Amino acid sequence: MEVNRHERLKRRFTIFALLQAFLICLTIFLSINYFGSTVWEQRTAIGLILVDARNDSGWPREITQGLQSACDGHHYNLYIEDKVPVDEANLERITKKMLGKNVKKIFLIGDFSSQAIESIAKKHPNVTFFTNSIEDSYADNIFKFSVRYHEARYLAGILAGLHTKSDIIGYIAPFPSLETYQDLNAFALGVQKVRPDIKVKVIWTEIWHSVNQENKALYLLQNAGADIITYYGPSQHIAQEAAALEVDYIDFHNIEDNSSPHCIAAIDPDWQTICDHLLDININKSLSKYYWRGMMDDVITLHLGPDISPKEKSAVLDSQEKILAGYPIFSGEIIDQHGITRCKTDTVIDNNSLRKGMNWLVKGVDIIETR
Amino acid sequence: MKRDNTSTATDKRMLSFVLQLLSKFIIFLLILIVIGLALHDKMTDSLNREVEKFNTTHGELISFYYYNLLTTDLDNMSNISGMITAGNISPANGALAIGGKGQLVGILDIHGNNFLGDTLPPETRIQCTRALQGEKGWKYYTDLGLVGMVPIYDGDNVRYVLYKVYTPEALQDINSPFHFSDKRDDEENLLYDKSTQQVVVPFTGYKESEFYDHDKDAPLGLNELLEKLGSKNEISIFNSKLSRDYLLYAASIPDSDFMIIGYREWRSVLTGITNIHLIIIWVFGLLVVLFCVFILYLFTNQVAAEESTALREARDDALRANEAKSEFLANMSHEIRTPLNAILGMNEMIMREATGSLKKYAFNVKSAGETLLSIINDILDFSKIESGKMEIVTASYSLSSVLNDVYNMVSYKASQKDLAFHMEVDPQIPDSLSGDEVRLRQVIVNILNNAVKYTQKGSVTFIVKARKHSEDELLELEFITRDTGIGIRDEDKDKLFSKFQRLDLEKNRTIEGTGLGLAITIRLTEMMHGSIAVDSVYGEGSTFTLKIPQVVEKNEPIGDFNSRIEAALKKDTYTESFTAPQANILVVDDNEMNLTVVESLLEKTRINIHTAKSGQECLEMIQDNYYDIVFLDHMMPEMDGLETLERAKHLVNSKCKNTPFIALTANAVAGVKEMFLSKGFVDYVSKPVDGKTLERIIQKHLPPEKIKIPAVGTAEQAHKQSPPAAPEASDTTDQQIDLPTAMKFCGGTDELQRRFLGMFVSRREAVCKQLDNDLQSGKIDDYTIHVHALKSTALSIGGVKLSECAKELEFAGNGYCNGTEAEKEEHLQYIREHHPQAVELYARLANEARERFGVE
Repeated sequence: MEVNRHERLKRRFTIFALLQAFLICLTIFLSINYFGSTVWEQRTAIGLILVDARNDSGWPREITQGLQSACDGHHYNLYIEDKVPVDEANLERITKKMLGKNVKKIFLIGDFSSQAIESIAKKHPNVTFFTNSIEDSYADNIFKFSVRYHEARYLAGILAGLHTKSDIIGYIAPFPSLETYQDLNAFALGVQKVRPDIKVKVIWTEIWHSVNQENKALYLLQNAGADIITYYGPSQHIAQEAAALEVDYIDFHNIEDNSSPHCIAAIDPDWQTICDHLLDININKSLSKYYWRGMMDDVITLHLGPDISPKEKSAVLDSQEKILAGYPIFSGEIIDQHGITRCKTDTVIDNNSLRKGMNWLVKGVDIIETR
Repeated sequence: MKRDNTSTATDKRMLSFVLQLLSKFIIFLLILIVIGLALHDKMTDSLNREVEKFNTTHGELISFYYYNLLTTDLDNMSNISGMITAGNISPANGALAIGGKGQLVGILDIHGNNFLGDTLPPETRIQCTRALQGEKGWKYYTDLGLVGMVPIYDGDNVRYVLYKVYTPEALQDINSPFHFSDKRDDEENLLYDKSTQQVVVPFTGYKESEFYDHDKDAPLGLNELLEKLGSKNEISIFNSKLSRDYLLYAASIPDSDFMIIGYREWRSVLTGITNIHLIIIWVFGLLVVLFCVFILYLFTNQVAAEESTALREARDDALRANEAKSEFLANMSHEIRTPLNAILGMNEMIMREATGSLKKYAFNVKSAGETLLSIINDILDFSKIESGKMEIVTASYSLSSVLNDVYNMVSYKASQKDLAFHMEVDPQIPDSLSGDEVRLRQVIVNILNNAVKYTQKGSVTFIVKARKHSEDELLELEFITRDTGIGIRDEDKDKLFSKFQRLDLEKNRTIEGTGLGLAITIRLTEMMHGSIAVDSVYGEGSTFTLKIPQVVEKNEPIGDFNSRIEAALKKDTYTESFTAPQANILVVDDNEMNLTVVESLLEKTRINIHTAKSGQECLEMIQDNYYDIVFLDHMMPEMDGLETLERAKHLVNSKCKNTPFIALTANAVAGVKEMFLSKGFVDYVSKPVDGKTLERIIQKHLPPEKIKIPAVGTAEQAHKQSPPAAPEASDTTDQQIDLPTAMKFCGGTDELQRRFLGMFVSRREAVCKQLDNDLQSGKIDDYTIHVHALKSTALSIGGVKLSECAKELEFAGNGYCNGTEAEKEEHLQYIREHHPQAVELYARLANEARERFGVE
């Protein structure tokens, strides 16, 4: 009886000791793996601040989607704040909120004022702010980015010149600015290349984005006889409205699968690739503080609609091939509306002049500005 | 054989124990090794990662070097371009100014055609366009080499592109700026172009080195580096599959497609950190050793625990053996006491009747018998003490009475050895005390007997003093025994009180004794809260000082003790203490001899004694007669004493409902008295009984009106008694009756011997018939009881051989009753074979009795 009890106690003790040893070993192994483990390393966090809703068509949706895909590819966390008012106080509040999530790079999409961005950037020198523009900035931690839209726009001009029946092409843009002049000049050069006689009517809506103003501009252009409409702006509203009015148009943003047959082409920047490049940029190591790439870098193209004629298509593709082979659009003799030679024969307008100095419109295409 | 088995079992047990220990130890060691390896891996891994981080900065530095190199070159070209634009230098001179050994220079127009210098292949057109757009930079072309281009402005616009080409040969020239002059020996770097996936600037001996991957025609670990580089600017990896001794690193050169790839010796990065690594490994190793030692220590303890288990088992065995010994001793006492009862009883008779030298002989018998009894008592006492059954019973007593007894017992022995025995008792000591009189007497007598025993000549002095404790009623009695004996050696003093220990054996070999005396003395003294001390000079004598606290009952001093002793000396012959002619007592015993002894001892008290030989007979008699006392033997066949009493108590017709029953037994082991009292006996007398004890007991339990105390002096009577017959000188080998033995048990009286012999022979047929019946009916337990009776009665009439034979049969009977089935058969066989022998011996004894003593 006694022996059994002793044996039982001994067995219990042995089991207890083994269990303890196992737990200790487990703890040791877990501790060994815990310390310095990469599992616990914090993922890089990226912030995106939008003035518009993230799903709004145009830049908000395109950049959000492109950045999300790029972050996924990099295994970064993306924090998005949309519908943010443009004032500095709100921008500051949202920035701080992002910093609380260990965000080191913030993308600002919308019509935030340059002063507000500069001010916020100076307050947070350890954060890199990416803004969708190619103007110069004074803060070291602001990185500007844009796409060489004018390269695709040149091709769009060729297509529009060949496609128009009324010989009037409508162009809607928010404000006259360096960016819109670049775009409009390239478009005009494209049109001029195939139809030097054609008019491009331009309407400035005088607002960054307004449905009413844009509808109004569209109505005016249609009434002025324009049978092809194109535009420059953050939203895709004009394209949708043109489709509804059954007017042919060249979209400034990506076209959806269910796009209208009136969309004869769309300027198609590859935001994911662009964002990939941007995420790879270490602002402290790069001399250049802006990113401005185009068709030769494969980040933008002109997406042609299915209903254009072979002739149109062939002309566009020929020109596209030349651009890809190194043809600079703003080269050779270019004279502005006032008869001033802006580019001599056998010279090329360099990027710097394009970014900072193109405050003129080319001669040769009748550009009618309407306000 | 058994010993061999035990030793083999122990060996096996030890072997399995050692194997168990060894396996546990190995398990522990393995766990430690596994943990150690995991720790080592983790440490190495962590170390490598830290090394990678350290080295990343190094790669960054190298890339910065290249970045500066390329940027400076472009800046130089921009300066020249500016000078050309400003017209400070002709395009041709400008181109020459940027050229060098192994370099091609020239100017391109906006269509990429050569304006000056060599025509460049069409793939340079894109770079040219970028330069035209104002982006100066470097590109690598596999067949052409490294090409740098800067724009040449005409006003705000760009008209030309100034270019410079480092041919592959120029790039490999160790004197070119792309090769470090102060490169360390433990590292190698190369410039790699990500867009063409070509090495732009290899280090010397690149293709022969271990860092060239022949299969892929690429730098070693390129894929791993590119994969890890991802979006980072610089990284470093240590991968033992790629290189065991070198760290690989890569760093992008900003604003270009180039990156540097480098290989750096692991140790050179670590420098002192390896020492930390080594220290940790070394310390862990030492900890493992320490842990092993600790575990070994634990295991050793376990071994010790295992041994202590073995010791405990051994102790239990020893305790069991000791119990068996105690039981054996207790049983032996029964065996010895039975004949001793007869001896002392008969001797008492002789002493009452005898005078002159016969009385002296009887006295010697008494002395020897008492010595034997005291030895048995010692053994019994010791077994009682050992089993914890010895109790100190406190009662009032007279110290003078105790001292009187002591004097009586010791002075005789002293006188036998011609020793002077002096006794000095302080007359102021209170006489009436409370304590255990019996044990006090025993302790004192033991010490005094010892003194007498070990003193050959001179004297034994016994001094009794007392000291009163003021705070309570206790009186500390001090008994000092001083002798002029052999003394005790200093080294023997410690052994003095241990059991079975006898000192100085060589000198004391003639002295009899069990060696238990002092051991019992010290235990009893301790039980009485006393102390004992010895002071001895070897060869001169010893002094034992015994101190025992006792409670004072009355403060009446003991007075002059010596005079009382003188008076006591004169009373040496037996006088009955009372007569009770109207008293009736019944003695029940299956042994007639014992009945006779009791009858004889009480003869002079004139009590009417009835006897019964069995419990049944007893029950019948108490229904017919009233008895004042019933003495009931314990061990009887069919119905033992306990059962008889039980039935007697429930007997309706009993005339002895209130009669005290007193147990009479030879089974005087520890605790038996309590057992009898609990069963309903009022008292208990152990056999052999002496006349005085018997008389005292009877006096105690008889109604006082039936007791008549004789007048002092008148009771003394002298009876002539013929001296005991001298042993017959004859050949005794064939004789069944050993006369000296018979005389011993019959108190040395011919008459009694013949009477007992007659009784014994007359019972022969009845006894034999009884035994035959028992055997035939298979009642071996009854047979054993009857043969037990035959054993003792045969011995008491000198039938030694018959007694021996009966004893063997009893032993076999006991073996049958208590043994296993196999043993039963064996014992039964023995009984069947030897029973006729016993019957025959009985017949021969009867024959001899008739022929030799004329007893029919």
